[in-house]
Amino acid sequence: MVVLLIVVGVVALFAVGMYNALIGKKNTIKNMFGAVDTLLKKRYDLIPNLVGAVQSYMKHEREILTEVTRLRAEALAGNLSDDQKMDLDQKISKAIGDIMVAVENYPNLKANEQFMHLQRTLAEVEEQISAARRAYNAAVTDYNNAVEMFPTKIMAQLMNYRTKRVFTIGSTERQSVDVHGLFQR
Amino acid sequence: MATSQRSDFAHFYITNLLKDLKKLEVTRKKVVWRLKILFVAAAAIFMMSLAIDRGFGLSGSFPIIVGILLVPVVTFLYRFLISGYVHAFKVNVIQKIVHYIDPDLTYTPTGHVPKWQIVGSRIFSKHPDRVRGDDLVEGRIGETNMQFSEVHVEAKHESTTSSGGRQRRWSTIFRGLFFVADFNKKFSGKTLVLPDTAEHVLGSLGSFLQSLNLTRGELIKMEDPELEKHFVVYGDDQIEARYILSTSLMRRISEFRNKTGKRVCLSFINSHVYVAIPYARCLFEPRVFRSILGFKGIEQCLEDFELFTGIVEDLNLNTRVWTKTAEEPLSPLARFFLNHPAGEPY
Repeated sequence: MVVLLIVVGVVALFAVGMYNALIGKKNTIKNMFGAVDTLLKKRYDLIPNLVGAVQSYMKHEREILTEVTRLRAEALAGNLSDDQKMDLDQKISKAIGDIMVAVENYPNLKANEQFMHLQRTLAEVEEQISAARRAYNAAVTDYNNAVEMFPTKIMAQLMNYRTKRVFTIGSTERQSVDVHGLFQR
Repeated sequence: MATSQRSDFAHFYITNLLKDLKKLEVTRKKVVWRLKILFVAAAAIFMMSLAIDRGFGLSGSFPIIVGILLVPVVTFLYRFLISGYVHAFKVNVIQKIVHYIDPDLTYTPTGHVPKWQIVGSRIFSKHPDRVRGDDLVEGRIGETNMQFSEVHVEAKHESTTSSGGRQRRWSTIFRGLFFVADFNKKFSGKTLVLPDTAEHVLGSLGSFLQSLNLTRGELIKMEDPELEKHFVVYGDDQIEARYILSTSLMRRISEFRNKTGKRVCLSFINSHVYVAIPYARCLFEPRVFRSILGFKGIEQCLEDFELFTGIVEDLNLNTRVWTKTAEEPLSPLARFFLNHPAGEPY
């Protein structure tokens, strides 16, 4: 009887431990995504400055500028799921990258001090977003490991926890940038 | 060293260094002669104490006491006798080697990275009580201000002896090269990249133990397997640590560690990077009991300096594409106050 109680007690302790660990990991993901969100917002705030700085120079690349403005509006519209936010993030990263490549064709713009400062600020924000994405992915991997590995798998199934998606580079973005094509637009 | 670089330096050695080395070799021989006299005298004193002990039928503790007293005296006199020679070597030879590497670097033979920088790096878990060192090199390489020196960092241990008196003992926390530079990104927290022992030996249990080491901050698992194999990363903030340790920097740190073959420690505090490379041997010291005319010895000095000044390029510190631009160089007066904070002995 006593032995049974001890066994039940130990199992209960384990169960509590696993439950708490899974909750902790889920909350870490939420925390990390929150940080990514904040940095994405910082980037959205810089986009009007970027478009304003380049549009008087880049008269032939209207399409890229319109695209980035549209994506920003979509992001700020709100009510997006985490997955939708991640997809949008990838598209905006690519769009800003395209603009920076196009700028290479305008030495006056490149040499402009205000623009250079903006470029540095954008590069810094991109780097911070990249760090936040990596931290998010680490948290998700940790959580996914707990959800998929034994014995926490049992508890995860009981709690109805599913694996989550990490930030990945989309297949379109993986194609190398066609610089010539960019300038043709 | 690449063949062309080696021949350049060999030419420099012949035209600029050999004359000074020959003069110093003469000095060295005189010093060795004096040291021989010192050792013979010490041996003679010890022999005499043995003889006195036997002659007077003492307990046998007399020669032991004499022996114990002789050790610090001989050590002190040894250091005193070689000091002039060592200083002359540094001022005439090492100074020229540093100038050869980069004329804008300053070399101070008796200077070292100040204690506040070493404490501030948070690399050492034991609080340093005493910092000694020499061969301070400082200046700007490209966009990066940096300084490095040899340091010997010690902790004090005080205890009461059986007779009630206080006894002070010093233990070495670190001995080797300490390097500080301004980093190319702005950040405010602390991130430590320390050599990994536990994970290597104990696997996931080791990982777990590392995560318990709360004094260092949160354990941060990085994605680079090469970095994780040799280092353990602690920090205040998961995101800031990854902001500092980009995929490229992680790779560079691993490569640098392989280059030195030593248990390198790094820390990133308040937009600065600190690197500590342990060395058992003394760097940039001239040989006393062997000739200093050999090219190999001088070449080793150059290679050591190039390894340390090369840290700036190895860690890509000159890439300044973010908002942290190069720090303005300090005026000599500002540098003085920075290196001698009030109340801190230099």
